[in-house]
Amino acid sequence: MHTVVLVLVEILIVIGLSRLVGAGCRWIKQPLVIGEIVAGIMLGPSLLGLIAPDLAGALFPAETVPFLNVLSQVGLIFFMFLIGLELDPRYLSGQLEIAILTSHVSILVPFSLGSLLSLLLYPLVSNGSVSFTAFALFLGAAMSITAFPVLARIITENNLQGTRLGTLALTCAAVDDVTAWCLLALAIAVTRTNSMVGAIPTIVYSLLYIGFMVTAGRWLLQRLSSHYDRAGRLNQFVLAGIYMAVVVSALITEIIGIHLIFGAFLLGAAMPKNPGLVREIAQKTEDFVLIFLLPIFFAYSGLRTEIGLLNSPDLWLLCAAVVAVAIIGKYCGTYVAARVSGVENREASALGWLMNTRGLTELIVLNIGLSLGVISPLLFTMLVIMALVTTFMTSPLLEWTYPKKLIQLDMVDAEPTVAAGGAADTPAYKVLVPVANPTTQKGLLQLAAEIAGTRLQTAVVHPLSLIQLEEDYLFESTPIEADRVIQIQRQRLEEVIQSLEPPELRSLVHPIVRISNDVARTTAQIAEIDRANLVLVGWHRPAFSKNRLGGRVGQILSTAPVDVAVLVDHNQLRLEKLLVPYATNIHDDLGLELALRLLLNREHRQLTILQIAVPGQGSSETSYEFRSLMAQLPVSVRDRIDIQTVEAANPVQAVVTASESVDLTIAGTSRAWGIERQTLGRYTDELAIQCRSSLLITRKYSQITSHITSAFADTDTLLKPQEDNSGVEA
Amino acid sequence: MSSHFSLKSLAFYAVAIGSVVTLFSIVSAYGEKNLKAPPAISGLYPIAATALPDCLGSQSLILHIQQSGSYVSATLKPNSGSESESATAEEKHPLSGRFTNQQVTLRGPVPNLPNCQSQNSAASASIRGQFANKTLTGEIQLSSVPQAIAFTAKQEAPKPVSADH
Repeated sequence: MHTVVLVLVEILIVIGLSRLVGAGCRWIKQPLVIGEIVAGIMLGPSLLGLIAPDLAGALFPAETVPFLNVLSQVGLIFFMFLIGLELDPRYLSGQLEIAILTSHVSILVPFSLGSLLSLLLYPLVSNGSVSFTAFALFLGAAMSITAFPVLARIITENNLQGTRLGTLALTCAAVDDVTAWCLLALAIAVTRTNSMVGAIPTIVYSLLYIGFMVTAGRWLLQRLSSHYDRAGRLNQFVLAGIYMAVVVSALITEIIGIHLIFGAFLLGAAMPKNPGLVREIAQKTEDFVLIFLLPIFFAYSGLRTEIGLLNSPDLWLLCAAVVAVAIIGKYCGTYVAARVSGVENREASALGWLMNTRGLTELIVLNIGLSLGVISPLLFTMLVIMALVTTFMTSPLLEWTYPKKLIQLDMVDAEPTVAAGGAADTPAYKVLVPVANPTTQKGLLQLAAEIAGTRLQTAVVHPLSLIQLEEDYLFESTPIEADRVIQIQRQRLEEVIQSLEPPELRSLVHPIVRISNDVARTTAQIAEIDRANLVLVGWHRPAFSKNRLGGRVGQILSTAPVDVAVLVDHNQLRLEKLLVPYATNIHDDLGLELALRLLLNREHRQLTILQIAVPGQGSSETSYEFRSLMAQLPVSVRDRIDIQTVEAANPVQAVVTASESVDLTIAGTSRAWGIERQTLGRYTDELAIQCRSSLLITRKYSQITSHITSAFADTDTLLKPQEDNSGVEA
Repeated sequence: MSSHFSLKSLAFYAVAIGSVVTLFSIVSAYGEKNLKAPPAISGLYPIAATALPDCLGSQSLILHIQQSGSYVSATLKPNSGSESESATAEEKHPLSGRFTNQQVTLRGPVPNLPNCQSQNSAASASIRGQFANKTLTGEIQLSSVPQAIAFTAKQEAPKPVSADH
């Protein structure tokens, strides 16, 4: 087969497998990078070469390897440019003193331990052509790495970007990243000249080039930024210039004697952080680099990783020592420095695990080391295992030390939950409203605010907007970019909140905006943490679907550990006439409770309670609780309630008929109304289809008998001051 | 930010970085003086056809050694003449062993020599050798051939298939 054809076939396999394994890793809540590294290893001698050596030889013959190498180097150069581009000085804004101290100690400790470990490893896994100094320097650098890009994604995914821990970890990682690259450049210079003294000219040239980039280079790039501001977009001519500059900068650092990647990184880092310019360069560059070229780098790296080289227990022991030194060095360095700086125990521990993320950056360093011959294939394999273990363990250990529940609790607590009337105490009634599109869900927010109201207990409405990010390394999932998206969404919510009527309802509404990969689960978690009394979900009638309450709404209905109400909105903002079909079950009780809340919160609202008597089965008796509740209500409220009992063979049709003259029908998820609770509307949500008004479907969480009277037990006392003010007699 | 450059902080960094530099200098000086890694033995070792067993016909052999310090792995295969150009670091080497005190010992299967396999089992080999002056001198014991094959082979650096990076 022609070499080019073979290389293209290889690329197909590489991209396909890395996406597949990457998706598997996302499924088990691991970063995509783990899947891509594993996919690369699977294609190499560790798996494919082991189980099907002939196939491996035919698919990845020696003559195609240089092509993969060139493609992976091009990918790496542009990836490093993107990393540099992402390195925003704004990351250095939070707790700089603690961050600098912690990140320096988190480099110094593993570096020192790595140097000491090299005393053991050098005679065993290196050879005479490599000087001990270069070996020790390289091993120390490899131990000190923290992968800023992977860490940044883990932080965004866990919604940590706004927290103290998140900003601290990001600042530490950014400082670590720059320091580790400098250390690596030094290690390369020493390796290439095989002595510290010989490396001095390279170090001097490197410093001169860095100086050039931060002065003249930055001046030029600033002009580019000004041009972008004027033009408002990047045309292909300018982009070609930027890409050429990336390659030129890479070549200069290669000629200086460090490595191609440093030039690309330096140019990205020196680029002015004009948000529009950075976003457009990143968006135009990242898809091809991340989808096409980077997996080739992983595959190339995987072809060089041979786990079979670890063929004896003593070698596995050495490997364990390498992994242990890397983890202990990074964790202890970070933890102790953070504790000394006054960071509390749990956060310091979480920071220690976060800083252990080595991922892709480590792999870049190791491949350079192997190519230079400073690390042997055996040590390369051990260090790849170390990179995999340290990246893999980050998410579960972070969850262990700093569970998502606690993170969300911290964030929910941080939200401004000023109760109605300006009181700062915890609101007694909380409504959580998942909102996907604020502009089309104003009715939902209005209803939530009306249910919460200002007349009963202190209440708060939390519109919850969860933003799902698609890919691991995409620019949009960087913490700063994620923050920008959150701010935009918050702004949109705020606009809708400010349009709510009457104006006093607006002060009840406090949005929560988060990043989440599982909207239903996160909603349920936040509902539990926030101790919400009600989750109010919106549901648009789909044109063609049999399962009206399926999908995300169905998931929320079945997983949220609180009462849930689903609004099937008819775009009616009026909420004057309410209808509650009532059949004495806990879900109808919730419906009645919400209807009464609406009634109590607005003076002219009317409520019709519809009881259905099936012909031949006698009239349905109201419960004692129902009667005592009615008796307990103030006269001004009771006067607005019309209790009707109708005889109907088909209760659903009776409700549909009654719904023609009301604004909102509130029905429990009971079989009586054609809304099957267990199946969540798979086949019996007849009412949801036929109802003539907007429909609010209620589902009580607690399966025990509802004590509806208790919900309004202190209605009198709650209402009195309000009614006195409004002049309504109780 | 200003507090970051306080005297206390600067003193801490000076002590911390100074200690690590001192530690590294001591470790480095000790390592350079006292620790000796095995010489570089990686490479290709062409074994001339003379005295090779009948199962190989007139083919000569080539031994490709990959070294990770004192741990070595290798492939023994017929020398097609183009091997030196296609040898790759990515190749899986079935023979494995140790390299200590200039002595190489390798053991494992030789799947590239199918004609030399015995009736009941796949071909395997054990190789012992002494490495000096870039020359490997020793003997190969094939499982299917009773007599050991003595050899002397000069080290050739494999042309790297991949570029420098």
